[in-house]
Amino acid sequence: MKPENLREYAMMHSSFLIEKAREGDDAAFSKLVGIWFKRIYNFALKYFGDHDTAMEVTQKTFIAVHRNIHNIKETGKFKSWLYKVAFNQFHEEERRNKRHSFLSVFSTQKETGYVSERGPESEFRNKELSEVLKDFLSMLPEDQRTVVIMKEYEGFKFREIAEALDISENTAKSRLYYGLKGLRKMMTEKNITTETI
Amino acid sequence: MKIPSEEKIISYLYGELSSEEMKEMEAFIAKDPELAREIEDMKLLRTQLGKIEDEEVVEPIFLPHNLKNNGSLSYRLNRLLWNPVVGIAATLLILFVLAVLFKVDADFSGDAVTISFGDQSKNQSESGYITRDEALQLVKNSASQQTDLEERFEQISQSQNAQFTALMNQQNLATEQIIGDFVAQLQKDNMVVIERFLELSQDQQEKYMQSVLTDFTQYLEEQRENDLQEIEDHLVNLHESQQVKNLETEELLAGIINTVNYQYQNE
Repeated sequence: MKPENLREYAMMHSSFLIEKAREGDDAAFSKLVGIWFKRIYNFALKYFGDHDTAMEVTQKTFIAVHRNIHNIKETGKFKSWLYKVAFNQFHEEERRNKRHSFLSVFSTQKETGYVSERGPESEFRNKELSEVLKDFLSMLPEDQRTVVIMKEYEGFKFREIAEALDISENTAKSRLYYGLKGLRKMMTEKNITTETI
Repeated sequence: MKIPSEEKIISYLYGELSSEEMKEMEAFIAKDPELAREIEDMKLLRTQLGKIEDEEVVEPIFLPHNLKNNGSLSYRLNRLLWNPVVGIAATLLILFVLAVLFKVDADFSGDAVTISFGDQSKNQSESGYITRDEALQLVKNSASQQTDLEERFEQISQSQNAQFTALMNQQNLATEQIIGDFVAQLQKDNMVVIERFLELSQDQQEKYMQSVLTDFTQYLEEQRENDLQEIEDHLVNLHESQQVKNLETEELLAGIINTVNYQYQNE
């Protein structure tokens, strides 16, 4: 079958790469990494709010993908599967971080909340809105944070989120609702309103 | 009135309600200012979230060899060796072994701390201090060891540089190969697209020319029929006018004859 347009060509090319990578073709796998690395990295960056951690978990994700790519049954569901693998890695990293912070005497500011001695207004002045939002995002509970990022930044449909996270569509919507509400609450608490923006 | 569920609010926010549900929701919002404010807040928040842009990142090199060995024994051993605790333990062990081998001895007697290597009786003069010659010899040995160490360090650096250069070359070759493949694929696809376009274009042009020629023939035929009809009409008109003129001439002649006859009779 010949592709009729660029989108169809891209889809066919992607399926072809997944198929080849599944058969053990490392060149095809490298191309897949090239296509998806930036997306997974940005997903991780918004999730953890930290470049080093994001890089580390993204690399771990692709190592896990390489190890398990032969398990994919439908190449059409690669995106959901990839994010599922990524989410599992994030979850694992989060669990490890929590254990370390529990054992550590010096707890970081992030774990204790967005606390500033200089006060919320001066804190906000020194940071771009997007930076503040990134911080707020990384402070949301894990399940809500994942859904907010997948919906707002990764362009997932609710059905796809449900599939990737093994939850129902209604649960995904509910988590998104409470995630957005949580963000609003944090903004209100830090006095970031329409006027201040 | 029942308050809409959070799932419904989210579906409304993301435009996933049917038109009927949408109307129902809008009715709720119109009657409930708190719900209206909540939805407005969420819309505003979504706009603000949209301001976080993606960061650019350069993906690291994934060498297939490394990927394949992640679960292997050598990989685990390698990770174990690079563990900081294991590293510290190994360093202490090495120091201990070196201390045993070189017979390191620390003496804290008196006001001084003396650290000595080897058999203390051999290294020290009878008076307890080393002689000038022994000190010079020690300095010389130390310099020689330092030179050896520097040479070894230089050799290791060169070897590492060579390995690094080889790896970089390998990576460059792989990248060039990938780009080459991609460009070749693009060119091939473009050629196919252009060929298809030209084929389609030629077919369409032929069809157009045929239709134009057919239209032109029909036009000529119609024009010819119109001309013939016009000529025929003219001929009919000419014939009719000829007949009228003949009649008029005959009437005129009859009039002249009558006039001549009348004059002749009067004479």
